Amino acid sequence: MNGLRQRHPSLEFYARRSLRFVLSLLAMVIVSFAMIRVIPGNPVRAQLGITATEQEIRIRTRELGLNQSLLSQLWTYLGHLFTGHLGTSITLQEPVSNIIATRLPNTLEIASMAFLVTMVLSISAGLLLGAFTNGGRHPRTELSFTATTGLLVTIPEFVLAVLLQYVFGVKLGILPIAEKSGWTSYIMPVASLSIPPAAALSRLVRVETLNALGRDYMRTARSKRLPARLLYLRHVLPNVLTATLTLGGLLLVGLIAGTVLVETVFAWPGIGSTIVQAIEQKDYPLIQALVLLLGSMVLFVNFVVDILLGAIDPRSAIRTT
Amino acid sequence: MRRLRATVRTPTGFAGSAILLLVLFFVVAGPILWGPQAARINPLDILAGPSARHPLGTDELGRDILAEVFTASRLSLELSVLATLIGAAVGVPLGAVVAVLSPRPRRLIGTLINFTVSFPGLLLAIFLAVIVGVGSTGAVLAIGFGSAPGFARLSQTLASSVTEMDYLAAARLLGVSRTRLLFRHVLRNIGEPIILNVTMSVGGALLALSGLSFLGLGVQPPSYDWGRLLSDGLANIATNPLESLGPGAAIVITGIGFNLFGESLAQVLGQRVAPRRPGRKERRRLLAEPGARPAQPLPASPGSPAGRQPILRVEGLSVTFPRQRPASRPVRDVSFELAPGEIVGIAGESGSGKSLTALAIARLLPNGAEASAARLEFLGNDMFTWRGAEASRILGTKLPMVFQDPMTSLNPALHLGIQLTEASQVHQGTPRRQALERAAERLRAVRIDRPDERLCQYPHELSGGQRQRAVIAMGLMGEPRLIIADEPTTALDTTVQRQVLAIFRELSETTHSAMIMISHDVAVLGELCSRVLVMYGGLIMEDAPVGELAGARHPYARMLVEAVPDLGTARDRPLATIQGQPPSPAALPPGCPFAPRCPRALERCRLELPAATEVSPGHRVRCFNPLTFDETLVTLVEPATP
Amino acid sequence: MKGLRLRDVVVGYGHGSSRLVAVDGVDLDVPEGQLVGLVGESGSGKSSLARAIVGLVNPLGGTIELDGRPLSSHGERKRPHPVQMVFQDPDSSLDPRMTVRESLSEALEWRKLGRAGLRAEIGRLLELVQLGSDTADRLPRALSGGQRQRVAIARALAAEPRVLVADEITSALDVSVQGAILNLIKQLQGELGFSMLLISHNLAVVRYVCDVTAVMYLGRIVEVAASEELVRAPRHPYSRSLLGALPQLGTSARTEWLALDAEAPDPKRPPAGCRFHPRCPVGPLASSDRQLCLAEDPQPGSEERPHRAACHFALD
Repeated sequence: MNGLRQRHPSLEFYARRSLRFVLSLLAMVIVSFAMIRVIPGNPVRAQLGITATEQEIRIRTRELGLNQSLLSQLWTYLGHLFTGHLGTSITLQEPVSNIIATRLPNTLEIASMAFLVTMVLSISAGLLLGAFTNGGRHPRTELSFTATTGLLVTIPEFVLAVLLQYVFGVKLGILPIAEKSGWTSYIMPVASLSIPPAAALSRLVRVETLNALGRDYMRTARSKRLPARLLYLRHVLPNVLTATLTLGGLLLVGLIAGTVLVETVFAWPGIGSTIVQAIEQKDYPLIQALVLLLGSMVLFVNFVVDILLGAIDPRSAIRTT
Repeated sequence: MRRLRATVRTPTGFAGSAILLLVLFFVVAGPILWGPQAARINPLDILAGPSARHPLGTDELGRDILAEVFTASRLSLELSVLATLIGAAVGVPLGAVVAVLSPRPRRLIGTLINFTVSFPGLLLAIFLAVIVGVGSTGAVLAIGFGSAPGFARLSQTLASSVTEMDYLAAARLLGVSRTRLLFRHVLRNIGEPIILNVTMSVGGALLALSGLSFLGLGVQPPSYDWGRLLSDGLANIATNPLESLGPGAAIVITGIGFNLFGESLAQVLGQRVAPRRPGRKERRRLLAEPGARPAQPLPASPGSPAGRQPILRVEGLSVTFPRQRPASRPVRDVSFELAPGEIVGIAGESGSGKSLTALAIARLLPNGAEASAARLEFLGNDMFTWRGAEASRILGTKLPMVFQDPMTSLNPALHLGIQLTEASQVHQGTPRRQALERAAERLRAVRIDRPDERLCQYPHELSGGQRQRAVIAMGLMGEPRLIIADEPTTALDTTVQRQVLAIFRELSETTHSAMIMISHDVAVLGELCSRVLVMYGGLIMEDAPVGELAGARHPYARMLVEAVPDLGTARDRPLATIQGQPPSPAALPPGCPFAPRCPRALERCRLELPAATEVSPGHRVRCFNPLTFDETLVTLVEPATP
Repeated sequence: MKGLRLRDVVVGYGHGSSRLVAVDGVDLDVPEGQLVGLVGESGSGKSSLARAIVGLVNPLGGTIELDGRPLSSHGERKRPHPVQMVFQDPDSSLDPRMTVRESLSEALEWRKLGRAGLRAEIGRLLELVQLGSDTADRLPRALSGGQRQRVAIARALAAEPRVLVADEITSALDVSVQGAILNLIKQLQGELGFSMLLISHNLAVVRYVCDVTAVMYLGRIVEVAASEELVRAPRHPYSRSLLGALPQLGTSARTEWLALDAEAPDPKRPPAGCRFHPRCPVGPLASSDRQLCLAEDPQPGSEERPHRAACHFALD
């Protein structure tokens, strides 16, 4: 390890991060496994209700494999995970893997669109406003920007979703109120998912731009009389990206959680709305799989952000091994 | 308490506290005043739209929605406060303890905190909802535990910044016990920001809890909070939108209240270090001072050899910050000339205006600062009117700057190759290959080994001295005519400083570029420069050939020379010292800015500003009562107590 | 011997490849009532040595004795350490939330003075460092850097230390204030008679203040001599390089004794043999007959050489 560190500090960084990712995935698997086993009382009884007979409970217990020893249960669970067998949903009477296969794309669609919109909107708005309001210029623009974004940051996505739904769906009737249909049905879910984080991120980008503009290296760059385009895109942008990406990763993770709320408002057929129903109906195989899925998505996003940060900011790779 | 009052006095703080007071009123009085009305079921008035009796309409049991919203304030806020307190109670001690642990467990817990901090609370809530069942207990626990890592990280960062402080080490040396250290120094210094953060988090917890209730994972019927009211109303959004928008507005307004209040409180706390603002009287005096009027052109400095066109000509240069309140004038009436190949030093302490002078000459003043001058010419071009591609090309290649801190003056995110070559690529259209070759050659000229490899490296891979030399090499890419170096060796070790100075000397011989060297250390300037300008309070106090600097005539200039011991200083004699502080550029005295501290000040010095007068050829002094060449300053200053 | 005595002190941090031995076998005496200076560049380990002396870091080896007894045996609970320290950065050396009076009171706690006694003692301390009594109720942010440094000195003196360690106490200050602090510290030492270890990167400052000067390089003391003697006739080529690099008004630059490489090697991987050999202007890289320096550490046997110089050719 020592020799490796001397020769390729960044390689060691990537190796460590990958190891951490794999370990945390494993932890996530165990957490999802343990989840329905630490439920106080009998989860099968809780699910089937008090009217169920002993016979029914015994059958369901055997179906879920809860009658075997914990270790052999874990072993079976791991084996099933690898073969993609995630059990059968009790309420929908359908293999969980099928449910995920049909619903996950819907969630990924709006989440990735929202993320894209967030990043593009906030980086361009933040950079522009940072350049525009540098050194206390245009105080009125600055005030209205901070006030507007401050307001938008505070509005939670589900309230925003309801508001949009009322204004554009009910009142104006120009966009479909709910459910997935043509491309217009994407507008409101994506907007309500992306506006609050975009507001937060553009504030950060502006502050970071101002920071970068005040740095010594910008003075050096300005002394070279470079055109503004180079000054901002080459010298400011990479230095703004580090903090932007760190927060961007957190927001993307928050976005995964946000889909749960927004999908519920717009009756969007994704996994977010599915998990809420599954919890209400105590559909344990489905919950288990979805918790594992959402958790892994969060871990994956964090992993990718770490790797990207290491690539953009060469110092962070050495600093944080 | 004083700070709280200051917070309320700001406009945002006022709005925030007004909202929070209103919310508090509903929390206390809501269930009492509107509880009975909210509980009254009226089968005849189900799902009614807004009316005078029911401003927000009624729900499916005919209950008044507005009354329900008011009544729900208590539960909504109670749960949010509870969740926040759980989070703070778990997170804050954890983070504070981490700061005083030994390195290994600190790293471990630190990693755990960093890892969990990025895990959304909603997922934790889903997880807990499955285990403890759907309900407000699970929701509060989930939001509480979900926010704990954030609090832990905050208090860890704050506490470790305090433990690194020297005052903690000093207290340990004084025998102060560990618990006292924790309470007296650590907690006192991190308490305020933590309380602030906890306060602001209540708003966040409210949003999160409302979200959970909205999903049906939080508060269960028959209880209700704003989130549940919102989700109940969603079913009827087409018929009565106010049923859902009412509770939504309650959530948003309360959230804004917490945000506004927290933000202005943070501002007030952060401002405590800000300097005192001079009053109106001082401002008026500033506007009436002599330097504020257009400068009388001084006779050009006689330092430049006759017959040659000077590289740089500065007459009556001032720098102002007109938008600052009060407006300040940190540079006044600076005049000098620079001949080709000449090296001029500018000496002075922090705040003397020496760096701003250099930035003004290079037209690189920060936003908000403005320069004015009777004349400011570089290579015969008027710097105030000279614009366009030609100006950029010449300024970008012939007037390089070197700044103090080599750790920060190169862009950390870009390879050296890009930074060295971009100016010649942009301004001279040099092809990339050729520019890189020249960059390697220039790096070799400043004695950096393996230059080709260095071009592919980031600045952090070089040592401090190497970086400073790389910056110099960058300035050599186009043929420089004037190099401005602002404290280029201050951050470097003595032997490295010597090397960098030698490089500057060599450059001046090989390139015949003129240089302006800025330093607080007169000895450094003495090694390199032929002439030194000593600045104080934004003015050039003395302009002396380097040979006459040891016998500087201005008391301040002499102090700069005699205050610092050199290898020949008599060990049994005290060093020259001067009481008091340099003046703030926003509150300059009417006369000589040095008069309040000057041991030789006359009555006249306090009233009028002396003009620069020549005391010997090429030696100007701005003083009514200059020292003679062989007087020493130290004999004049008695060790006085202020 | 009365005074502070360090033998073979080793201070290190970290593990594995990031392990750093900042101080590697240092012998140093600070006799009672004397002013001893320690000069070195960044990375030489001088601050680590200071922190080890006052017990802020535990040395990995060696002994630190005061009056012939281990320093650790002097420490009593709730009594100040007999060696006190003044730090470099006046911004961080005072608690921003404590007034000058509170900071000094904390330093005087061990004397269990009454109210009036405390008040009088604080007044005396402030007078000692030439501050007006009106400073007592100010917070550090209302003081200038020089004033804060005076308060820090007063706080250290309140503990009535046997030895005062001053680590770069003037390098964060403006030029006009530096001289005043140096004057003050010399004057106080003359009046109160404590011994002092003054640490600085500036040889001229150390020479001006101290009777004896030690030069430190990459964790080792390479030369010790009376200050005037060291400046007049340095024995170690590193000391000569430091002297030659010192900028001086009115003297043209001396180049003959400059180090070959201006920058010190990474202290985590010190060179074999003599640690200075890669930079030595008269060493193996300059003259081929000095191969001894590549292989043999000159530290053992330095007691026999003039100025205790850690150089095989110190006599030349």
